[in-house]
Amino acid sequence: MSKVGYIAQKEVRHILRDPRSLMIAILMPILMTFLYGYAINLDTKNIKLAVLDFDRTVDSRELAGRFYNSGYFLKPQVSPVLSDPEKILRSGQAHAVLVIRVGLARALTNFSEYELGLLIDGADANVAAATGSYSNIMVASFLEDRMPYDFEVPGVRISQQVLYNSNLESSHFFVPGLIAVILMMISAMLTSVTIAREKETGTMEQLLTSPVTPRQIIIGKVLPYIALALLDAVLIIIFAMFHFGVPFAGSMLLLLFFGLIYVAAALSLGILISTLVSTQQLAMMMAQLTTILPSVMLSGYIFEIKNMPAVLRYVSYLVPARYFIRIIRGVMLKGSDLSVLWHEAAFLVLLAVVLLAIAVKRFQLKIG
Amino acid sequence: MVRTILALMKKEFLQVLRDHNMLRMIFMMPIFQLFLLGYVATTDVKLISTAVYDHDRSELSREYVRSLSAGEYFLTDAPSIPLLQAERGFKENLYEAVLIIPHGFSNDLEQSKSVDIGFVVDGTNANSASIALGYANVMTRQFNERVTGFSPPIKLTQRKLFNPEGESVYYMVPGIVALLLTMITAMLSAMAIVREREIGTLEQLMVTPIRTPALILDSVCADRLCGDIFSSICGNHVVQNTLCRLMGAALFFGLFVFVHQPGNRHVYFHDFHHPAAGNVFHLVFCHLCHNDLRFLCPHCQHAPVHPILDLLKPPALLYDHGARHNDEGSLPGRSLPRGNSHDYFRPRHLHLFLDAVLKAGKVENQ
Repeated sequence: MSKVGYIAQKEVRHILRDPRSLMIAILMPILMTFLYGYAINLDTKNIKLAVLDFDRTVDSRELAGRFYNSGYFLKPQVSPVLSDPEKILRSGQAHAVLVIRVGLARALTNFSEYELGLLIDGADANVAAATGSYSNIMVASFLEDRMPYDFEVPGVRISQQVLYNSNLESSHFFVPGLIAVILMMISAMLTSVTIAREKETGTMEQLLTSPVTPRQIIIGKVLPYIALALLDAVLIIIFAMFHFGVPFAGSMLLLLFFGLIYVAAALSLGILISTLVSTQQLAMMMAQLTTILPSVMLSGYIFEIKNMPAVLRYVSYLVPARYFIRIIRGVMLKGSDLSVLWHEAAFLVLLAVVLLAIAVKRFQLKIG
Repeated sequence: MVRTILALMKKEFLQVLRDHNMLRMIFMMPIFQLFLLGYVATTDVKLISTAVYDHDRSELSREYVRSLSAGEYFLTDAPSIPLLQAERGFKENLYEAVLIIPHGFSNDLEQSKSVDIGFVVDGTNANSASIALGYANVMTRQFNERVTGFSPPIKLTQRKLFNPEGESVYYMVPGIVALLLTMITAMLSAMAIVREREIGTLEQLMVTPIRTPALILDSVCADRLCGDIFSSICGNHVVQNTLCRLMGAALFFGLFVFVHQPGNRHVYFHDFHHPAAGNVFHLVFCHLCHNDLRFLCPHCQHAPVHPILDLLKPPALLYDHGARHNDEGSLPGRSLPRGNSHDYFRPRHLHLFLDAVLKAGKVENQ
């Protein structure tokens, strides 16, 4: 066991003496948390809506005000010379244009037919859909308030409730998922690079001729990175909680436990990669291709798994991040415990064990 | 200068072609990533699995549920567990929404009264939750108009421009191509110089009469070219019509060689508005990036301005009239686009950037 300790000590010195990679390991997670927390924003809030008010009455202004006060729409700076809604969209000054023709006030008083126009920039399908449905809600609620006092609008009304993230903040969704991505990045990339480095500089032979078994080398090399990865995880959680206000509803201990299992899976992947390549450069690229990309793309981190084609959906079962992201979101946002997460947990453990077994076997074969 | 650069380019090509691992990476990475991104990167919100608790069990309530599940937005066949334990279903990810229809639903509707129903969504994914709520409201309004026969006199008519079918692929793929170009070419050119340093040939290059800018430009250019061609080829597998696009890629290649002039460094950064590059260049590239020229401007028949800017600019700028129909009737495509995000891509900024890179490189070498 002390041999493992020596190898680990050697690896810690490697890390500490290369301040640049240490900076990457510590600063990158923080930077990425900020970047992802703010930049990935699929929120359909703050849609720029220009209003062309040709009616110019109290009612039309109230309708426009209702749109802007809802929090979904923003008033853009539109040059006053533009009065053609299509031109406004083309100029990029607004995402949608609401046209209030003359006669809204009259239509409201004597309940005559009247048509409001809404021109939407459809390039981003998602925002366009949201714009359409929000506008409908705005107009409906505006009308409801204008109905006579004793008149009840017949029909179904939805009383809605949002669980777990009632303010619908998208950073609450993305920041916890980021932990999975960063853990994968630190663990898989750094381990594959560290072993490739030994090979490249020729020190691997020296290590192997020393009275240490390959298994001890691997364990010793991997231990410091486990510590580093967990440190990163805690760092991100702290940032998520205190900067982005992400709630932590569940148990921290449970999360760290699963984090450990996930890191084991990621490290095994890193070792596997390092047995396949011989230079740091290739190790880096392979790690990016086989671990980070799937962790971002196929894990449900940004894009939902159920929307993917069937083949990719099946591939996603092999991505450890898929399970860990579910666990971490469950624990942090919903306060889930093992009784509901056992399914994901079992898959994660299974994947980690299989990957670790393959990695150890491959590494030994390579030596022989 | 020209000959130096050409010679260096040849060296760079030979180097890339002889490194099989590298070659495999250059080919595989963009294709792999583009396929992955092309298929995965949809932000569509559909198939929201919903558990329905219908306490009314009437013809009308069933019709309401049917009207919700029409149009593949809601999947109403989620397994239902006792209502008191409904939260457990959210935690186990069995469903993302719960719909509760109260007793007396059909009675109230038949008497033209209003009925409140419960709709609970999982807000974890803020984006899909808010869109789901929007869908539910729209469907309910349509149901109301159909069943009660009451429709408000004031209507909102909507029209979507540019992408009326609401296909998110059209929005994503051009952006993906830009993203891949940036990623791959930045990485490859960085690696080209690092590799020289690693195997010690950088010193050899430094003692030759080649000036540093030429060296950097060259590795940038050769690698960029590889990146460009491969990503434009694979960009089109995703959006069909492959053959036409392959021809386009070949043309693109030819043009690249044609406009390769010393001092014309903006070209390598995709500044298609540079006078030497001209608009043919930019049109071809836009043909490559945008499926079926769907985004051709109906007024002046111009393709989008800058595919690479798709990442940075608001969607309505898919084509930019401001830049085209501007003052003194300059030739379309010749003038630099103005304002906001375009500024970052102006040549003078690139000069600054390049100078900074060169300075950094010098300090490092001393």
